[in-house]
Amino acid sequence: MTHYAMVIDTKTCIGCTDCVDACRMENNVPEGLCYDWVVEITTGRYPVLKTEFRSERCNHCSHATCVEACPTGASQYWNDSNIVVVDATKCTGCKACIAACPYDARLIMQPQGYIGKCTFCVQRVQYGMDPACVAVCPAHAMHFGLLDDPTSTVSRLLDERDNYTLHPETGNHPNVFYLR
Amino acid sequence: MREEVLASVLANPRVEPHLAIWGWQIATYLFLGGLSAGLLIFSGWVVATRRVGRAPFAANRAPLIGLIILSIGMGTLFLDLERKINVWRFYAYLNPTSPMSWGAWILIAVFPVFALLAVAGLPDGFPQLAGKLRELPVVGKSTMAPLIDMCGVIRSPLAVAGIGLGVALGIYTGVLLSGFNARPFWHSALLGPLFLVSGLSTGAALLVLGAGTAEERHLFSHIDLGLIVVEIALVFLFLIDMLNGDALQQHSVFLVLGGGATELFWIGFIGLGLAVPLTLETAIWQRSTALIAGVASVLVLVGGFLLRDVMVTTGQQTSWASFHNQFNASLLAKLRTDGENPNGRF
Repeated sequence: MTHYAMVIDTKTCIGCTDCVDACRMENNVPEGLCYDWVVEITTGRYPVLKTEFRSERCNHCSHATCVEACPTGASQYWNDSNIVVVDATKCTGCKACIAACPYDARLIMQPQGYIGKCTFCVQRVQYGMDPACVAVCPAHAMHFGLLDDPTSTVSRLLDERDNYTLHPETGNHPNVFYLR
Repeated sequence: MREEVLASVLANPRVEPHLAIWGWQIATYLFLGGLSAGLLIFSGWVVATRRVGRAPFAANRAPLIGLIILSIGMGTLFLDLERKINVWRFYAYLNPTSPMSWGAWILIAVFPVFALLAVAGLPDGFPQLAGKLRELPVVGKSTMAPLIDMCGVIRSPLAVAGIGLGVALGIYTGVLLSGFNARPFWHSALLGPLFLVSGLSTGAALLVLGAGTAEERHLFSHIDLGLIVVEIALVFLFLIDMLNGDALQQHSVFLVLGGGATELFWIGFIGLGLAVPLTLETAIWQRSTALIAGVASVLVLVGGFLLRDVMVTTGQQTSWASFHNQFNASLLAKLRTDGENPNGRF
């Protein structure tokens, strides 16, 4: 299984939400919907407060509960990788995958009715390009690559920097990592 | 202090209420599916144990009524699909890890057994309908008459198959929800037995309402009383399970212990749907009256629906992720006069 990962540096992210706009342009996301979103986390006690931005999306889990819950095989791994995609021709819009996603990363495409989600921009990745959000990030806070390759930027960053994933206790093995 | 605020917008039901996962369609389907499973199990039990004479309604008429109820339930299930044209895809694939896939295949197995059992009950249950079917032009003599006769012959094996498939259908309606680790309020294996017992209880209640004889009404009234006691035990075990669960489950169970679904759960489901019928049916344990038994049965049916409605609605509000939405869509909408979705701009 080809193991892709996204690594996002919360130290350099400025929360500009450019990743959200780039995603909408690249994937023709219907108005009012989005495949990714930015969370602003404030911790501490006034006046000593700390702010961290986190660009969130589908975690392309190695153990994806949405793929397990799909009754028709529409939710599936792309090309024997951990990238989770939805085949719209097989999707009935039953929403089992929405209920199964611990990250609430799935949505109903309006008006077609199939389920939409972040695909790590497979249409770009298959030609060796970065996903649109990574490519456009003005702070160079986002990185994308293969975890299988120990010399890749993502592998190197995860080796060198303290990092975390969201809710690893779900058992889903998420593949979007945050550096701190 | 730790505060997580959305800097952009998340296309998520808790931010955009119209994106809610499942609505009344699924609650209705789970209720009708459980009810028809209960009818199938009782009907099968009555036929297989040769109690047809004591319980004529359950044996002869209930399968056809159950089949119609199940069809309506499958209809609301279909209404819930966002991409209805692909509905046939359920039967082009079997995903062993997906309860919904199992359910689709269980439904396709239940339906013919249910239908044949209904046909077997026609001559005694609906003699006029059976007569008309036998006299249909072209297919009447050649197909319908032999089919009705054949169903009568294989009625016992059909009944045994019906019990097994009914149990599968009843349990699956609960497992459908409990299979989601992502929704803390659903993540308890007790939902399978709870929904099965609730389905049996609503099935018995409908049999009380339709009972052909006082003896049959008495029989299912007694059975329902036992089922209500088991259901109350399972509900409290479920609450204990949640309260002893992880932080997410402890937090989610407060939606029915003081949160938004409290009144519906305690007054509607526990009070009107379980406690009142329990009291009424205990009162008429010795001498049953049709009126009181009927009121108790209607309340059991209402309670059965409320259980599904509360579980489906409350469960999808619980999640691993919790953010404050910086943009209050309803407040922003008041400032706008052009009707544009305020969240749509971000």
